[in-house]
Amino acid sequence: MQSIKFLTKQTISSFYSVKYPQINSLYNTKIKDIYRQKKINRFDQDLWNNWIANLKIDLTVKNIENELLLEESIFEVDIKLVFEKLNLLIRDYEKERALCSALHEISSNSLKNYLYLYPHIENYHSNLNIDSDTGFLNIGFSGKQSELLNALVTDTGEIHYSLVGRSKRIFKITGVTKIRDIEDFKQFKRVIRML
Amino acid sequence: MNNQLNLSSLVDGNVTRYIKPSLFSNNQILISAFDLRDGTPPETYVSFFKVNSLSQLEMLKEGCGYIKKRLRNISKNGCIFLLDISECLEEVNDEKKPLIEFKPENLPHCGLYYLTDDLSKCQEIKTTLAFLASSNYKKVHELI
Repeated sequence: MQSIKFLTKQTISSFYSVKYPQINSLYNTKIKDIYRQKKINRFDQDLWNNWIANLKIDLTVKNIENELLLEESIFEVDIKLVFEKLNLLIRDYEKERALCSALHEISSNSLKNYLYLYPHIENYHSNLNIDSDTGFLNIGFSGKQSELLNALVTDTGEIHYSLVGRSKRIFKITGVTKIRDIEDFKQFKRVIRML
Repeated sequence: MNNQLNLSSLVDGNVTRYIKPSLFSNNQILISAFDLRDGTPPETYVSFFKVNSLSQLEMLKEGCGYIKKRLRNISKNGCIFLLDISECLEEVNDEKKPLIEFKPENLPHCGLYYLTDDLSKCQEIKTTLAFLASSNYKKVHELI
């Protein structure tokens, strides 16, 4: 059992409003194995997006007593890990923000956009941090030749990315992905393929 | 916003910076290491210490010494990384207008200033600096 301490009561109710049997059927062992072998997404896009769309995230609440419990049978380890990572990241950031009020408030829309993106990037090793100037989530990826790709997920559909590596000299590929429909977050994989 | 590097800017030499363990992952310095987040009120620059030792290891040790005097609690699992100022300026300032500069702030303390607030450019600057820093760092416990 895992907990997400930064989510609120509303989040819990929105989570439980999702129909369990539908989700359970998607995550039975056989299907998971097939998905793993083929390296394709294990998420039902519609269910996942629907769940995220209904999430009400209140990151301003300091002491949240209610916890969202994730049943192992419902979510994959990866999913629990992402929430654990987020939970730790947000708690650390809020601790630091309490000491330095100039740090930007975490953007809940950026967080949601990260969650929309998550199923499409879960197969890539990545790290996560919060940009203190904007409050947006930044995802860092490493390539085989030690290239770095950083993607700043904004509160709109824009993702500002920059890839830096070394060939004869240091090279950079920088740009903005503009996503207008949540189903198109999968298009960001085109950027990651540059690694 | 400045269009040219200030006359008082540092253009060569080496600088070191301490980062806490959470800003280091999988042998990479994270770009948050270059966020403006130090101090209350917040500083307008990213803090570094200029070092003058001859070898890279000695420079990292020298930087570690400055940090230990300045900060009460530094984590032994934190990192000290080294940047060559001229390399940073050459690799980052590749546009018509400079994007960063280093300025002395009561040496050996000095600051990295951002000369743009464009999100994409900032993302590129920080990724470039993280890329450079990731090739030259040591854990604090290796330097004490």
